[in-house]
Amino acid sequence: MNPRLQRRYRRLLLGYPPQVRAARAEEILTTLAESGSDRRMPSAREAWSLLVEGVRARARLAAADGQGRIWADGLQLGVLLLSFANLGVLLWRAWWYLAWTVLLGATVVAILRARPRVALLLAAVAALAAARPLLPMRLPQGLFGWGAPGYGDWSTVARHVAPVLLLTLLSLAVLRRQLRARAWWWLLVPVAQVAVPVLVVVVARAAGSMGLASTGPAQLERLGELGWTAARSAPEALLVAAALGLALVARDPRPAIAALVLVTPGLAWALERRAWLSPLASWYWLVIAVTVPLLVMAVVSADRRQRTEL
Amino acid sequence: MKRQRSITEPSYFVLAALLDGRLHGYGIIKKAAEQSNGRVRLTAGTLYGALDRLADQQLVTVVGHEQVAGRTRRYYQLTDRGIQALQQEAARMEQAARIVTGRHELPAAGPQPA
Repeated sequence: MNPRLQRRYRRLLLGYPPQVRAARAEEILTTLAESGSDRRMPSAREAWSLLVEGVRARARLAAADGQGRIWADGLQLGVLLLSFANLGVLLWRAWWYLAWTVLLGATVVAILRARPRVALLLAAVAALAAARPLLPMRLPQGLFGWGAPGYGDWSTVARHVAPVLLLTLLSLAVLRRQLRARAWWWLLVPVAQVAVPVLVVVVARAAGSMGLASTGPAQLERLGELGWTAARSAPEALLVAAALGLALVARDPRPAIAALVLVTPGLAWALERRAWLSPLASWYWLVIAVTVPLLVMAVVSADRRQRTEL
Repeated sequence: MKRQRSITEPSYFVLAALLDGRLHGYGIIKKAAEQSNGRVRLTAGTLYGALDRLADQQLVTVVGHEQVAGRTRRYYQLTDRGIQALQQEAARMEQAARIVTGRHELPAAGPQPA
């Protein structure tokens, strides 16, 4: 096998868990070399199978720790994504909502580093602050009145209450001891949440200055809004599709559990505001609603096949 | 009650390839293709995924390794449990096949759809 082909196969093997890679990589490369060493590129069949089996090996290793590990991983990923989504809503006004941004940012870090009880405390403060216009009693201003956004409808508050419920579950000993800290590179997500809309506006300005598009303040504002929508809904739709694929092809139920956690509060919000949604947004949420039972079936099927298929 | 594990087609052919004795990875791929008249073409990813799952259930085991031109080769062999599981699966498929092949008369096949 030529060195370039070997490098490409090694890159495909990065999808495997490190311990499987350490034990198996050389042997897999030997078999690949014996199967066809004169190629320049990995065949599509081999590449696809290495990618799928890498994910499948990850799910198999997690399942070997018990069902608690599968649910801990899936819920942790879900609440992490939901917290990124919550953080993203006011990230573009972080300067005006500095304490709020810091609070949600700290929650993200606590979830990422598998500290569910710390994250629960922070999420509970955020949920109370967000729900304060709806609460019958006045909350102490020092703790909750520092400029956090207060929402007047339960469907918006739901996206801040959901992490509290999920983190309560993850704080239970049976799930907590199965949690793993995730890599710091996840913090690139909020960077992308800021970068995508900024990039959309910058490109629009450049197009405007070259006379390619009309870029008055109204258009720029509209484009910025589109950028924010793209930063939220495009990754959400991609994640749902990927989660379905991973569950069906690689028998990994964890991304589908995470996708369910992410879309459910959004659906509650869309349901309450269905009369005010634009036609595009209505179609988007309708598609997401249809995927919910599919995701549930995917979780059940992937879990069963992971445990019973040889 | 513990659910019975089902053997997928690639795993079945991996186990069957080892019936005549120990083989290394590429040997299993070749033998599976030969035994299925070229129908089952195992990729390396599928093969090692199946071998890992079968080894977890103690149906196959590693019985040795060697270095060939600086490359690692491991040899795999069926365990007694593996032989038993393979025989059970073959008997199950044979019984299923007999429902069709054991009939004296089969209904005539209708016209093929265009």
